[in-house]
Amino acid sequence: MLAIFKREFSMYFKTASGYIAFAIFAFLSGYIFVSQYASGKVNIASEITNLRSFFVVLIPIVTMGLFSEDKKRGTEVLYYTTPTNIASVVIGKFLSAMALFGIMFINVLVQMFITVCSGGVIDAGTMGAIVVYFFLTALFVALGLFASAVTDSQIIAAIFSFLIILLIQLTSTISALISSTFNSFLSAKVFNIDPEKLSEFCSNVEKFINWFDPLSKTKDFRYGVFSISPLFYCACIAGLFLFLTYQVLEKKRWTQS
Amino acid sequence: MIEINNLVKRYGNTRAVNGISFTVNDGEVLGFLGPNGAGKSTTMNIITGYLSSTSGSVLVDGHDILEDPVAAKKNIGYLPELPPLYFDMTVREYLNFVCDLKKVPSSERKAQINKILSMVHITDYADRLIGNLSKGYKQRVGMAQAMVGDPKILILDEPTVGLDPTQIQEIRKLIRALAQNHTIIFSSHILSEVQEVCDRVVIINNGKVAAVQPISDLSKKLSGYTRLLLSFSGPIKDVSNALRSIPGITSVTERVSNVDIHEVEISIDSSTDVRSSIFYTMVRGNWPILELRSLDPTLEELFLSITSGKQGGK
Amino acid sequence: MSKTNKNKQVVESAVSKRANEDSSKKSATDTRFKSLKYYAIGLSLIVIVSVFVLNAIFDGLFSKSLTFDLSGTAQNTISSVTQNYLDSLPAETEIRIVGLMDKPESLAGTPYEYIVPLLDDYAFKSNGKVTVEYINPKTYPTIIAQLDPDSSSQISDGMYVIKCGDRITTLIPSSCFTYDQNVMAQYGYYLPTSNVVESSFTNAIVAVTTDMSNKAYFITGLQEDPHTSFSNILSSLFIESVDLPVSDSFAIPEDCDLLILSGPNVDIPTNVADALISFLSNGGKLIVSTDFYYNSAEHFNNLNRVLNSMNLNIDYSLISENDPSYSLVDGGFEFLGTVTSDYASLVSSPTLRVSYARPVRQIDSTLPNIVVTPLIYSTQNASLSTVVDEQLTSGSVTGQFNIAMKAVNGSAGTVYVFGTNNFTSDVYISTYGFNDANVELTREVVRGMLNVNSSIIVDSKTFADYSINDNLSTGSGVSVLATVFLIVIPFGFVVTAAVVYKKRKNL
Repeated sequence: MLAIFKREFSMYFKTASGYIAFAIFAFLSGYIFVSQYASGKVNIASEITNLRSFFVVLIPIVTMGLFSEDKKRGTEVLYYTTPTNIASVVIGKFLSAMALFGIMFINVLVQMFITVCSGGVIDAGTMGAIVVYFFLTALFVALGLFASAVTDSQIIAAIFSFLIILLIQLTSTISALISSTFNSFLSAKVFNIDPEKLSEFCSNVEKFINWFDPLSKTKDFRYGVFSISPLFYCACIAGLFLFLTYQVLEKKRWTQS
Repeated sequence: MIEINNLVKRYGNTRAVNGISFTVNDGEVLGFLGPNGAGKSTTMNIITGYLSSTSGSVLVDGHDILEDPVAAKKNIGYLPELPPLYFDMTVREYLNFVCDLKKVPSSERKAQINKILSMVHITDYADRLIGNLSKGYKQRVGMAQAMVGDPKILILDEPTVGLDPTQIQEIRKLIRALAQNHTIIFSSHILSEVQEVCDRVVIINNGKVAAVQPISDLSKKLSGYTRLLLSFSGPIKDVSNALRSIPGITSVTERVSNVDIHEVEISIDSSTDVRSSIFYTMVRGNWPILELRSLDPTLEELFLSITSGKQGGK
Repeated sequence: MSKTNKNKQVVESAVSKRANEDSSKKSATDTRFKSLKYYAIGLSLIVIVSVFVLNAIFDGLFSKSLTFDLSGTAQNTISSVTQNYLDSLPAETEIRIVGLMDKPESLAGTPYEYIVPLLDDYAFKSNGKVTVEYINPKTYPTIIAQLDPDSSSQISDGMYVIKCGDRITTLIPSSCFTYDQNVMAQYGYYLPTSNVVESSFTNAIVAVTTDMSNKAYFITGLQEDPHTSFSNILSSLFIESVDLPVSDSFAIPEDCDLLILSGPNVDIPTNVADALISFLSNGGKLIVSTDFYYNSAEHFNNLNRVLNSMNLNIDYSLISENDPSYSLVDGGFEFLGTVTSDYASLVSSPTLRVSYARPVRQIDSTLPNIVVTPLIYSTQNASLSTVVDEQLTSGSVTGQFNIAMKAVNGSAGTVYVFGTNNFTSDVYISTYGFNDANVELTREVVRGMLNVNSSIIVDSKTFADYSINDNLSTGSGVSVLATVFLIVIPFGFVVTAAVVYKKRKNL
């Protein structure tokens, strides 16, 4: 695990891709921070929450090559033919990407320091946003890792994780859309449905879809409301994707093609 | 050291490996001979645990590769057909990484890497980026990678393919050197290479073992098989007829013809030496011999000879 | 769950189909990979399903108990007051909160930032008693008629309707906040000062689920200050507020438990004065407040006739506090009044903010059985001004003046007189919120008059203030930060990337 972690992590810095990710993140967070600062109010929680919407780009950049490059170059042979556990390969790669995101975040810590020095406030909401940020990062990195494991093309892996992350970020919009579509479709006179029941049904549909959405589950953290079960959910989904990644790699043991 | 038992590997409906069984003894160099697509690489991938077999078992030093993979893999150094190299790492970084993977204790690491580097003659290239090395050097890095951790068994898949003759000689020399304290499986589709390096040879074709023989038996088999190449200047028809009349010559096939220089392939059905008869026949006809040499058998011919039991070619 | 189950079926059928094909063609030797395959697929499915099941269970069991609002003001969490009230309602109670709009999506920077999440919390923590829906009447024009079949309330787009059984009440989002009325008056824009979303919605829920124990009438039609906040305070004490306009046929209803004359800017008509006098003499309860600001020409002669019947008088003058440690502005028209010892224990601050106050005075009278008690007074150094020839002229008299007094007559008729509107008017309450000490006094006064014991008092919540020092956000510091964060750091990384790449490329 340590071997994989060391290699992947150091390669981010030796191949410059890590610096590019840093530059993008630093610019985005800097832009939000400076514009908040200029407006006289700095809410780090809202900065962090806004930064999350760039996961859609950052996560694929960081994770796309993690397994697909190994497959393409044939270096995955090393994982299968040396006395290394595949699970530790998965975890090593996952941790290396997480560490990269962790280091990126130093930029925000500096901004927090500046905020405090400027008489601004770092409150429970900020801490909540940070906690959620890392749990969501773990979830999305695991997802990106999975995307990278199912294909040998970096581009396909990037597009795959891009689309899924986009889908997750739009879940609450989509669920509202589905619910209102249901509502407008079924409220036609032909169906003769009690409108109260219909609206209850539609809101339940929306609730059901949103139950799966890690973003809407964790939305209250930025206001300082901490809750264990959404974090547990994020950790579980991250773990699930790591497990599925492991299964995809283990597939070599039984696949016949 | 390695026991392979009734190995089957199916891809869809085709069987790339179809019931291969053989044993590799401790300390021997086993040649794994077969044409392209015969199932060599698949078999090696299965032995090293990269692929799984559809059925059958592989025991490496007593450990089943499927049931006890970590213990089994500890004993194996593998150089696949495409060396598993990270082009964006330097040689030393790469070997360090492989050391990590193979859990080489950090105290021995530096010494071991230096030793390996000098064995494969890439010490001068240790801090070069792998992607910038030539094919021959990449192959050596691949060899080095297999040697990391000093495994008892080295499995080398076509280590000389695509290299120039000097590089091939070096790799062969390296294999011979390694053979002193390693068990080596070495695949190739070049007969002479196998003859030169191996103690024993497993010949496979169409996913099946065609023969398992000590290299001396193979040589015997090959020596009974003779073809000659003759080039001369003179009328091709007369010469052919004259040659066919010599006892022991079964066929004469024209290979290349210029205006007055011709090349024919002569097949002989026994171990009789007909070279002097040919010489005198040519002298009598006043047709100067420009070249006369015996031809190496092709792998294809070897298979034919082994499978059909017949000697001789076309 | 059904989603994953469906997937499972699909995969399983595919697997079994393939397995059948396999077994018909292949020899018996190749079963190992199949069992590995089934194991891997089966295990993956089990893990997927169990992750969601486990989370559903965990969510159901612990989502409430393992939620902690660590924010300073708990903006988006209902308070224990609301929670206890919701818990006290019968399990079959069905309270519908319907937002007559599409569900707001981007909340940041809008009032909905505080409304939508809090309403979710109501729904979440009420054990199904509260449901929150968003229905846009533009899309479903019938919804208003559905909610309010007999058009008893004026419902329109953008409102929240709170309905329980037949009872219905409404809230508009902007009323869920208090605003700085001074900023409003001076600059004409709304500067929210506190979040009373929970207070408003809880009061609305109380209004549709509980019978109000008392009824208060606000005398209107006197160009008086708005009293929405005061009504909110009353409803948190289970007192219903009703407007009672002055007219020639003015009569005080039988069910009037409390009469309020909140910040009139013109005097009451004679018939109203007569009605009030008889109301008080029959044991009625009255709260009067006025000040010396928009009404600086008004002497309130009729009002004073009513007060005189209780041995009180509001004088035609303006108090200025000359003690600098009590005065809040130049001229001393806004100052800290001291609460008398009778009332000091009821409020959290020994001094209360008073502005543009008229002095309230006990008059010499021979009326029997009237007990007069001061509530709030100035220091000894206060002076009085009056308007002479439309000019504010300060008098020479200095001394201690009362700003608020209470009088009780023999038939238990009670009047509280405030010489300032800082205890009753929206202008003050909305600016300072419901947690203010002045509001505490108002609340205690009402409580005492009507013997109210139960109440649902939800504090207003102050906003998190993320402001940084003003001079920093405008100074050159911003350009320095912009340079560092937008140019130096990102560009530095890009350069490093280029250098590293170039250096290694040629190794």
